Amino acid sequence: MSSRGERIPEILAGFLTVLVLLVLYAPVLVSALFSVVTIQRGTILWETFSLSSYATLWSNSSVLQALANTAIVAIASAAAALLFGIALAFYTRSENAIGRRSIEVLIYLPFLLPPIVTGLSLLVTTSALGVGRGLFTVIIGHTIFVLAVAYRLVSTRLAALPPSLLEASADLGASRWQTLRYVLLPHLASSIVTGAILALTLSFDETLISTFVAGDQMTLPLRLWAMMRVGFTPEINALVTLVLITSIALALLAAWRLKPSWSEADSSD
Amino acid sequence: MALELVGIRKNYDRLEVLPPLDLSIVDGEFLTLLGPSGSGKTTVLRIIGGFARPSGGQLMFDETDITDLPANRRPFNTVFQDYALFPHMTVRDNVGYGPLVQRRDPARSARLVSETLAIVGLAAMEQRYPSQLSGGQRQRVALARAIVCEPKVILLDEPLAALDASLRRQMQLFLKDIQRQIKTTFVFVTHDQEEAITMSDRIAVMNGGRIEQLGSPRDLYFQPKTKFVATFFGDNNIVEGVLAPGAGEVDTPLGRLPIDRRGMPAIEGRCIVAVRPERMRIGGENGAAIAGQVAEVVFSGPMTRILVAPAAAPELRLDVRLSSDAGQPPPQVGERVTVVFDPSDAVVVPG
Ligand SMILES: Nc1ncnc2c1ncn2[C@@H]1O[C@H](COP(=O)(O)OP(=O)(O)OP(=O)(O)O)[C@@H](O)[C@H]1O
Ligand SMILES: [Mg+2]
Repeated sequence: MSSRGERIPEILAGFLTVLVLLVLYAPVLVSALFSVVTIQRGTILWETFSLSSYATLWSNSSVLQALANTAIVAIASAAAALLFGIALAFYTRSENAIGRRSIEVLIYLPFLLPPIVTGLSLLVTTSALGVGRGLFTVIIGHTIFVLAVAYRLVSTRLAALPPSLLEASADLGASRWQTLRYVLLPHLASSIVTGAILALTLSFDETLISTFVAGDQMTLPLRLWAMMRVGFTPEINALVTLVLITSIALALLAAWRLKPSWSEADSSD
Repeated sequence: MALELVGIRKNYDRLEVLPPLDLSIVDGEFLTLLGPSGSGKTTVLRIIGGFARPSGGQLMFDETDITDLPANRRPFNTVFQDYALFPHMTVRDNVGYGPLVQRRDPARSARLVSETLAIVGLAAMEQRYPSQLSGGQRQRVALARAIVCEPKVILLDEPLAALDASLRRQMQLFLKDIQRQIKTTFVFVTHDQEEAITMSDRIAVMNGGRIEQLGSPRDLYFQPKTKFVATFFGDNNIVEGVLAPGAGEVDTPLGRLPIDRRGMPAIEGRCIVAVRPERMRIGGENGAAIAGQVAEVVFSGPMTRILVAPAAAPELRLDVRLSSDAGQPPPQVGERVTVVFDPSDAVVVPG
C-alpha cells in the first residue's frame, strides 16, 4: 500500500517529463511531417508522400543564397570571435593584466543583454558612420554576440594550464612562438573546437541582430521569416526542418564536447 | 669557476628574500642547496634558471655576464618539482622537445633521444603519455628531457619530494649515478639533510636567504660553523656555555667541559658546545665526564640509543648512540652512569 503511495510523485514526474518532451518536440515533428505529406482535415494523406518540397527548396535560388550567406556569416564570426577570444584570454590571464574583471564584464555583456540592444546600437552606429549595411555588419554583430562564448571557453582552459609547462618550454630553449605552437595551442585545441561549434550554432539561427543590420542581405532565418509572411507552404516546412536538424546536431555536438569527461580524456591523448 | 653568483639579491616588493648572496659553483660538482622551508632555495634556483629576475647582483657563467640572458638562451636545464611534462606529448616527444625547438639535426637528435631514454630505463615506454606513467617514471622522463639537451648545468628543485621513501632512496642513487656518467654540474634543492649528505659533493646550508655554511657533507657534519648548522644538520648534543678568552674549558649548566682549541676559530663569550651522539660513550677513562641517570633506552637494530639525564641539569637529555652488542646488554633505565666524550670531538660555535 505504502509503496504504491510513495510511487505517486515518481509517476507524476514521469508523466510531466513525457508531457514536456511532447510539447517541446511535437511541433518539430509536425513541421517535419508537413514537409513530406499533405494533411487534410486532421488526417494524414500518406499517398501524397513526396520529397518534392525539398527539391523545390533546392532550386530556389534565394534560399540557396540565404544559406550561403548564413554559412559565410557563421564561419567568419566564429573565426573572428575565436581569434579575439584567444588574444583577450592571453591578455587577461597574463601576470600583469590590468582591469581583468572589467574587460571580462565588457566581453560577457552583449551575450547577456537582449540582442535587440546590440542590434539597435549597431544599426545606429552604422547609419551615423554612413557604413552600408550588409553581410559585413551582420558578421560584426554575430562576432560581438558569440565572443563571450569563445572567450569563456578559451580562458577557462588557459587558466587550467600549469605555469611550469610554459617555463619548461622556455627552459628547453623554445621561443615564445614555439611555445605558442607546441604547448599553448595544443593545450587549447579542445576548447577551440568546442568554441567553434558553439559559435556556429549560435550564429546559425541568430535572427534579431541580423534583422537590424542585414540591410538587403538575407540569412536563412531572415529568408524564412520573409517567406512566412506570404503564407505557409510545404517549402517552409522543409526549410524549418532543415534549420532544426542542423541546429540540433550542432547543439548535441557541443553538449557532447562540453561533458567533463571529455577534457580529462583529452589531456591524456 | 663555472657558475658564479655575485651579490645576487631578491626583493618581492619590500620583502627582502635574498640579501646579497655570493656562491661559486664548480664545474662538474653536485651542489645541494639545503635549508628549511622559506629559506630561499627555490628563489636561488629560479634566478639561475632565468625564471626570476634578481633585484641586484650579477650571474656569471664561464666569465660572461648572463644576468640578462632569457631562460631559453641559457645552457641550463631544469627538472621541475611537479615534473612539468607536456601532457599531450608522448614520452619520446617530451624528451625530443629540446632538440626540436633548438633546431638540432633531426637524425642525430633521434639517436640522442633513444640513447637518453635507454640511460633512464624508459626505452620500452617511449610511446606512452605522461598520464600513463608512475611517479618515478615521470621523474625519469623529466630528467631525460633535461639531459638530452646536453646542458652545462642541471637544476633540480626537490625532484624527489613527491616520491615515497623507498623509491626516493632508489632515485637518489640513480641521480648520483647519472651525474657521474654525464659529468654535468648538478644544483640540487632539498630540505632533507639526509638526502643532502648522501648525494652532494658540497652543500650550501641556507637560512633566511643567507648561506650559513658551504662545504663538503663531512665538513658540515664534523665542523659546523654556526649554531644553525650544528642543530639543523644531523642529530647533536647541544649545550650553551661561556668561554673565557684563551681558556681550555667552557662553563656550562653541565659543569666545566674541557675542549680542544686546536684548529678552532678564536671564540670567546657566549657559545654553544656540540657533540655528536655517536662520539659519546658510557663510562671509561680519558676525556670529559658528565654524571647522570639513564632516562630511556631505545633499541634500533645496529645502534642502541641511550638518553641520559645529567645530574647537574636533569631537565636536559644527553643523546648517546652505542653500537648494539649481543654479548653486552645496555645499561638499564634508572641506572647511574657517566657519559664520557673526547674533548677533540666537541665543537664550539658562537652562541
Ligand atoms: N612570488 C613571490 N612573492 C612574494 N614572496 C615570495 C614569492 N616567492 C617566494 N616568496 C617568499 O620568498 C621566500 C623564499 O621562498 P622560496 O620559495 O625560495 O623558499 P624555499 O627555500 O624554496 O622553500 P620551500 O622549501 O618551502 O620550497 C619565502 O619567504 C616566500 O614566502
Ligand atoms: Mg622551494
